[in-house]
Amino acid sequence: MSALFLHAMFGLGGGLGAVLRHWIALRVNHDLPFATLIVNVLGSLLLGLWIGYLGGPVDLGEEERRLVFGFCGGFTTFSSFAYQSLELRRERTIVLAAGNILLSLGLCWFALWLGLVLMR
Amino acid sequence: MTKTRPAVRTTAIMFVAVFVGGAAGSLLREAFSAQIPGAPVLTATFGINIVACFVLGWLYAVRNRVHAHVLHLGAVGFCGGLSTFSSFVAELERMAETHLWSAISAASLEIAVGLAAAILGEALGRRLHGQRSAG
Repeated sequence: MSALFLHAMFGLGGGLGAVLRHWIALRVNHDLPFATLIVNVLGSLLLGLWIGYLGGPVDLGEEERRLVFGFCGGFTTFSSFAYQSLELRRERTIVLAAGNILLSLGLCWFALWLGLVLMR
Repeated sequence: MTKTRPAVRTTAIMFVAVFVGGAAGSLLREAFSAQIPGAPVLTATFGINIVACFVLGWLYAVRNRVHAHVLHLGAVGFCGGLSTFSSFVAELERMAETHLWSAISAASLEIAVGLAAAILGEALGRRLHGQRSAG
């Protein structure tokens, strides 16, 4: 498998993840940044499942591994999370901003852990 | 039929822009991460997330001046594809297996620096482009 093909798979996964994230953001049209929270939790769960799955006896090509790793990274976002937290602080209250940060970190960490445990 | 065509085309361009930006951001992240599968490096994801926060802050500072598709390509696609929350928590989980408090400290640090980078990017964007964003 050529290295270029593997990079293409990673990029494809990232691009598809970004498209799905944006589609969800358009669907979940809410004042509060729930869309980002949802994609980050789902993406973290998927990465946990995937890492857990790859930790077992699997016969998978490198291209499938890359595709899903790329997808998880493209789907989830740290930059929008940070910016939206700032906007919450500016336009709403600091409590909402802090809540967004704690909820994102806690739920995503838990989702990743859950994915790992489910595949154990 | 003819009425819906411009809307369909705009939507198509929007999603293509998001896809291209997301793919480019992901590839850049891949290039900077020494190892991706299974063994993420904390420093790589950390630095990449911070850069993405900075760029996103900058883009939002000029959002009223640029075409919506530029934001789709740069902010939604590129910054979103470049930054990652899933690898961030995956690295924290790996750290937490041996050093729980180090992981919590690293998480706090990364979020604090990310917020600071977004503020800095936005401030620089506003200053250099001579505009105060409406947002």
